[in-house]
Formats: sequence, structure tokens, C-alpha cells
Amino acid sequence: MIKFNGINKIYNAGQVNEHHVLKDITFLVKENQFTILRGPSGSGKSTILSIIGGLIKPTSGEVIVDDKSIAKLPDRFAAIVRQQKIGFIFQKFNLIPNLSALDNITVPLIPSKLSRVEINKRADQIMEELSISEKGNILVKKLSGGEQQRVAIARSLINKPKIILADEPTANLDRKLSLSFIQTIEELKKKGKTILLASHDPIFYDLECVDNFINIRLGEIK
Amino acid sequence: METNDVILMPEKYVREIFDINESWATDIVVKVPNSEEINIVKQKLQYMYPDCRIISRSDIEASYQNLFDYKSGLFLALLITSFVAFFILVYDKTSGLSAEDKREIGILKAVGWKTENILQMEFIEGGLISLFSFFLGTGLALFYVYFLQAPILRDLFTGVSKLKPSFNLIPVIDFQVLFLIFVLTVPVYIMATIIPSWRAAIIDADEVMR
Repeated sequence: MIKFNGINKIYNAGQVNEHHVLKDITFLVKENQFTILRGPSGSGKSTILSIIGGLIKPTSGEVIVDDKSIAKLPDRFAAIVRQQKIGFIFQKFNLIPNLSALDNITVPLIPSKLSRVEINKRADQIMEELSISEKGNILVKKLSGGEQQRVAIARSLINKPKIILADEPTANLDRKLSLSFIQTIEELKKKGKTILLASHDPIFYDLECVDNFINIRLGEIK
Repeated sequence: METNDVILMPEKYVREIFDINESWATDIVVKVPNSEEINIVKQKLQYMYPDCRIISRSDIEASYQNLFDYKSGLFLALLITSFVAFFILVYDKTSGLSAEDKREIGILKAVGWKTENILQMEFIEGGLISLFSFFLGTGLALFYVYFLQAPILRDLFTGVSKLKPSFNLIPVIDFQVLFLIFVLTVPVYIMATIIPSWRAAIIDADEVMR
């Protein structure tokens, strides 16, 4: 469950270049729901995802992620929440180019206490589900866009998160790969994941599996 | 041209160039079968020919060893240059990470790494690189000087002494010097790796990745 209650985010507060990115945002995403956050570029979608992931802190308001208030959590504890509960899929995939697909996928678990055998076992299982088993030892920079995205999805799932956050996941994909991505998301929903996806791609607008839309414009919910 | 101060050529040309009579010689080798008598023979020769410089093989070996050590001072200057280059590298590292490095740290934070995890990784990475480099460099230097007997540089240092008799560089490991080099390089490099990573790791991951 994700709950936003009166969230404001102001960059450079009190300065000449003050920028009010989010204005009193309130919404609820229930467990196992697939929600689309839609709006034009610069409307504040990515900022909402970053706040949920604890990557940035709101200026005011309350954020509840899986019954835990994270708005004022120190960085160290926000990282723990992120590691245990959240999987991120970024617009530009944000993979580490000089590592292999397998190494990229297992990166989130390196600081964990899991053994290398257990980590590799999890990675093998996820790679098989996403049909990238043969790509494990290839450097990600040598993979195609679609393969890179599947690696990014695998990385977001390796820590078995309850919540998946995806920021413009189809921005760098053609239609065929976008449809394949939607199929993957549908399967994740069937497995009980809560999914919040930020996009202005119309491909998501008519999907049956989407439970809810949150429309955002200029930092406000419309 | 044999070394920095030696040209080898047939004897007849030398005599011609320097106009040296057939009955003259600049160096004469005297072989003494009984090594116990070397010093006595040396004293007698000195007495008979007071204008000549009489030196034994052991005198020559000792002077060659000293000569090598003395001329290696030249390389001290090169060593200082290397240190300057090393500290420029360190300064460059501490002054900031590349955008790519910062982005990687941002990614690690976004996937759940804590700042301490990142610093730990940088410490291990910097430590391994600097320790490996230190031991490799020291090992190669000792191998080059004492096992290979410093080819090329030895000729440069010893000059004419290279011709005869042959001598060996005796292995000496100065732990004080090694410790000094260790202290000046390994911890410095590790700190130079950690400080900029720490700076990047305390920035919001979101800001680093944008």
C-alpha cells in the first residue's frame, strides 16, 4: 500500500529560483493494484516515484509505504525500505554499462547477507522467467534496448519487492517491445505486486489490467 | 658505442688514433695464482712503479658497487618526478568523480545500497588496487635489479667498469624505505578514492541520476 497525504515538494525554497514541483498531493494505491500516474513531461511524476522510493524527501506531508512512514526517514533507513520493499524500473534503464547482465541483476543483493549461491539462484530463476538466461555473461552495453530493459526489470525483482515503481518504462522502446513489457507487468500483477507506473505513453491508457489512473498536471492532481 | 663512456674498437686503430707506441700499454693485467699473495704482489709492484695505480680485483668490485649506488642518485630525481605525478593523480581523484562514476553511485543508492555500503566497496576497491600496485611495483623493482642485474641501467650507471671484471648486485631490502613508500602511496590512494565517493554518496540519488 502506498499513501500520499498532502505532499509538497519545493526545490530551492526561499530562493529566487524556487520551484514548487508537487502541490498538496494526496492519493492511495492499494495492495496488488496497478496504477498509472499520467501527465506531461515536467508534471512531477518522477518526483512522486522518487519520494516513494525514499530517494528524495518531501518538503511537507506524509508518505506511507507498506504501513511505514518514510517522509522523514534518515537516508540509512530509507535505503533499507528501498532494499526490502521497492523495485525500481527507470526510463533510461540505469544499468551499469561495464558489468554483465548477471552482475547488474544481482547488484541490489550484494550488501545483503545472502550467500553468492542463493543470489545466483534467484538471478537464474528471474532471468529464465524473463527469457534472458543466455545473456547473463554479456556486458549490458552490448545488449539491445529490449534486453537491457528486461535486465532492468530483473534487477528490480531480485530483492522480491512488494512494490514496483516504473518511470516512463516504454520511452526508449518500440511498440513491440512496449507490448512485451506490458505483458511482463501483467504477470507481475498476477504475482501480487503493487505497481505504480509513471508514463504519458497512450499504450497504457486502454489496458484492462490497470486499476487506477492518477492524472497529474503542473504538480497538482487533476 | 658500448656504454655512455666506452667505445670498443680494434687495438690497432686505438694505437693509430692516439699515436701509442707498440711497446706501450695503458692497462696491464697481472695474474697471481696464489690468492694469498695478491696483496704482497700489489705492494711490490707499487714499490717498483710508484707512478702506476695498482688495484686488485676486490678493489674494483667494491668501487663498482659504490659507483652503482652513487649513480642511482640520478634515479632519485626520477623517483621524485614519479611521486609528483602520483600526487597529481591523487589530487585529480579527490577533486571529483566523473559524471559516469556519480551516476553509478546514484544507481547503487536507488537499488537499496546504503552510503556505508558504497564507502565499504570503494575502500575494498581502492585498497586492492593500491596494495596490488605497491607489491607488484616493489617486486618488479627487486626482480629487475637483483635477479636480472639491472640490464641497460647497469651499463648506464657503471660506464667503463662494465668491461671487466664482472660483479653482482647484492640483494638488500631496506624496510624503512619500503614502509615510507607504502605510507606515501597506499593510504593516500585509498583516501583519494573514498573522499569523492562519500561526497557523491551523500547527495540525493535522484539528483545524481538525472
